[in-house]
Amino acid sequence: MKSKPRKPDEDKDLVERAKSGDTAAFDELIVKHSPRLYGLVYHMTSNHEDTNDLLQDIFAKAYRSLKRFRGKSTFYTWIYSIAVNMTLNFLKKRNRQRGGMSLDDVDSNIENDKDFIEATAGSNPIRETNIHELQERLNKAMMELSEDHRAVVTMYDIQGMPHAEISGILGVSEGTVRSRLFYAHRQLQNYLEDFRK
Amino acid sequence: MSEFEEVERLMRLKKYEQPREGYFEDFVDEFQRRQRSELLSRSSRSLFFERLGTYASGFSKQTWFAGAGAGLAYACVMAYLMISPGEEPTPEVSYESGAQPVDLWRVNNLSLDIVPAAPGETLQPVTGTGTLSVDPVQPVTGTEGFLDF
Repeated sequence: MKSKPRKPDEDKDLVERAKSGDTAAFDELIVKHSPRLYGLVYHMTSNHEDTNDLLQDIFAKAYRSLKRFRGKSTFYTWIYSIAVNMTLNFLKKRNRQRGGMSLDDVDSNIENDKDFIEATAGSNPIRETNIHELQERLNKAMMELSEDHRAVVTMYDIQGMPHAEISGILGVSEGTVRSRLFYAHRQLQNYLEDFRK
Repeated sequence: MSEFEEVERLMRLKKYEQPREGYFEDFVDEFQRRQRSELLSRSSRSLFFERLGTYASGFSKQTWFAGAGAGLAYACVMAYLMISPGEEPTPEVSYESGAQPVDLWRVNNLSLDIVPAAPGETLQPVTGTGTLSVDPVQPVTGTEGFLDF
């Protein structure tokens, strides 16, 4: 079977420069990828401080391991895999200590989002909720999922990644990704019953 | 339309959760600061092992196999040298209990039959009671006995 042609890595030059000791090039990679990686870690931990520490550790590990990066995947996929694995390991440890939520602010643009308007407007008084209540409900629902299910929901629903990309990052088949998503959505549907039409 | 579309729509709203403004600008500074302090606080031993790890990670599979093969061969040679028997030990010389020490003075003067002079005796020139025969040197003929280089 003919393999799918891989898209060229747009970070190749920066990675090569960083490999040869150019720290400014690595800084550029941090600036470029930290917002999405932050989102991944934050939605899996629901804690800003933990996310900040983990993100620092993720980039530090990537920097130390950069010489081992052979370019078989894109830099983005490679560092995303590091982030997922480190976050899953962190959550396994944290679950023994039960860390609490420390949520980020919600961007005020949410009020213009049609999904938000639909979710919070209506005749049902339970649905007449404010942004922060909704945020807390969503985060609590996420925390009820297993770490593996939370990871796929984060990548697929929140970050909008396609199944194939998630499968590459997690190192599992696309079928496994779809199956995890199905079970996660079913669980979430039960937790968020109030917000359903 | 997906059976879980409503859930998917709700979860998409989480993308509006963002860290405070300016967080990502400060993040790089914090990264650089942490890297520097980590470098200073880490022991030279851990740095050595990390560098060794990074150095070794640059080897290809073939290099690893060659290195492992050379190491194995070295270990085999060392093991063989350690367990193989050495030269046969030289048997110890045992002296028989009845052996007498050799009188070297007597041995040296055996053929001359010399008797030590008594006090007051006048020494006479030796007339030769013993014989000393010396074989004449024979000239070497031919190449017999020489090493053939």
